[in-house]
Amino acid sequence: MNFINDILQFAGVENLGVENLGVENLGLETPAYLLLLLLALFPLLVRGHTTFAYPSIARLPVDPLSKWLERLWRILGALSISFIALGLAGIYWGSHSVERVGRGAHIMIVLDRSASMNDNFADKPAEGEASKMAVARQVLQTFVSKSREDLLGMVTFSTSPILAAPLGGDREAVLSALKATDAGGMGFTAVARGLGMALGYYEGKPVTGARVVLLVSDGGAHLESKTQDMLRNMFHRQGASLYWIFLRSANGASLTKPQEEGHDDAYPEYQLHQYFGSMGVPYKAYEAENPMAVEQAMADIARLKNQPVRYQEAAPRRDLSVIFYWLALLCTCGLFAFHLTEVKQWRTA
Amino acid sequence: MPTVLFNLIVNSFIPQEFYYHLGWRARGAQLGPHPTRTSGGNADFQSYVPFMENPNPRRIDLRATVRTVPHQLMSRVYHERGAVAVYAIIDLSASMRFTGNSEKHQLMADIAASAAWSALRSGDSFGLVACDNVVRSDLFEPPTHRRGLADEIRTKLLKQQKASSTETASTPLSASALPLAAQQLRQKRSLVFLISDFHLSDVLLNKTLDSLAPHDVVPLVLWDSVEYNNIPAWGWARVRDMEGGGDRSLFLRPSLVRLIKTCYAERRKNIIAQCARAGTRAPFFIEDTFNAERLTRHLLEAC
Repeated sequence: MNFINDILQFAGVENLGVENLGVENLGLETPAYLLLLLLALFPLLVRGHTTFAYPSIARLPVDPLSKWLERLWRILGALSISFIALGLAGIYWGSHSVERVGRGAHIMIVLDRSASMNDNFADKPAEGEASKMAVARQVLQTFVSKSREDLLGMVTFSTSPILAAPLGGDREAVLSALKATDAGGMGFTAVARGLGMALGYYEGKPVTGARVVLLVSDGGAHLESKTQDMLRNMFHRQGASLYWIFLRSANGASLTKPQEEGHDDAYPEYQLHQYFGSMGVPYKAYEAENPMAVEQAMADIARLKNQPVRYQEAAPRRDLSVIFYWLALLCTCGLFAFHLTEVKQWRTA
Repeated sequence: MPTVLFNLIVNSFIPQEFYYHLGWRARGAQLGPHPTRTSGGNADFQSYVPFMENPNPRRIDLRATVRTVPHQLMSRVYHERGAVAVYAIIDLSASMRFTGNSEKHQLMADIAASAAWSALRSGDSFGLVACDNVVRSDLFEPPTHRRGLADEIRTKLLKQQKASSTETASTPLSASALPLAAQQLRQKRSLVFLISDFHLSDVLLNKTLDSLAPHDVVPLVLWDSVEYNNIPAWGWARVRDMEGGGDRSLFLRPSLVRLIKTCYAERRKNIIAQCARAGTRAPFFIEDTFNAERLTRHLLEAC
């Protein structure tokens, strides 16, 4: 199959990678056009081109080169007709799987914009100005501008999720969206809907890299069991992993320390952490109590998600008719070259 | 009146005259320019004979009489000058319809007319045998002295070519009847101009030449410079055999052109060799134009 790859490269089709192409995958859109292949016999059989009358060709020497050029000319004619017929019939490579190596991750940043994000970190009461939001924004901005190979998207949420930037290579959009969080947070923390929306953007996209949902929030919310099931299903279906950067509020609860009995509802973060841990997808939480910790967490994530992903992708069928039209054009060019060399007049004088 | 005169000048064909002489003694009663075996006349000395064998007082030779012992009266005997029949055997095969720098069939008609004219001018009779697949009885002309024969033959040949070129394509004519032409000739040795392009197979050519062995044959080879000399140096050309021998693709390039010329040179040598083997005169090659003067020189030089 090497020559097919060569042809495809020649015709400007991108490299197929390691493909298991086989003749059995060849298909035709409208096989009826193959009847035109019979026309290919025409150049091979037809006689009666314009010829110069010559008294006796027995006097002429036998020239093998001329004989072969004549044959080549006939074959070129037959080939160009058959290539056109195949092109018309719409020849294609049927479905086949392609092994691909994905490098960059697909990262959906889910950023909490609830009112509590305006507060300080827990153990930095002295630096009143550095709100959690500002720190998160700064760190995320550095992260976004560093991650060259990733696809990025961003969803912010407070009471309801807002799409800030869809999953794609457009970093400017994400940076602008981050900048827009300057306006300050408001409302509550609807984690589930934010995650749901973020996961929704993976739907239908090819898995060409690790899928990472990066939840940046300072608090959790209580999830109903139905919502929990739905989220779990979505995570499993999309194969996404979850990283939670928990910006701990002043006097906020810790994720790891269980609450006292009877105070479960007051601090939903712990339960959320437990739930995320039980989802069965790669999950890691970073409990950040200061800006340094946030940066540390981001560096961790950057390292983790940069592992290459090897996966099989079912490639769509590839239309080969263009290649055949090109080949037909080549053959026709050859024929035209022959035509140009034809002697129009036998006499030179 | 001037237009009539103009037409007369333009349309009237004046055949070129060439001269020939025979390297052998003809047999025949007809008076003419050539040496014969017949006794008579007064120009071509044969021998001395006793007077009683040739009782002509004007032929008594005193010196010969004196030389004899015992003396007897001697007289001179001469050979008669006589005429021969001159024939043109023409090849009417399809390949003779080739048109290059000249139209071959027209050239052939001109040469035939020229031969007729020259023969009649020198007192010989002229006959015509034309052959394609068969010996053409419609074009056959027994040896005759008829006046205006040259013009007649030329007109007839040109008309025939025109007629046959209209109904040609169906079956390309070959020259396979050439060996039969000899049957149409007189039994006495005659001068025969064999006018053809000599694009014949070796077998046919040999048979033709052998069949004409009793006669004095002058092969006239009509070739056209376009056939081998005047061809393009580059390009792709397909040529078709005029006698139905298929077609051939030629990718012309200098080396191939050189090869074609070499082939023709070889063919020329081959024809000369075959003619020499069959005992004819050296063939005379005519390319594009017929020059009677050159033919005269050829005929008078290379007997």
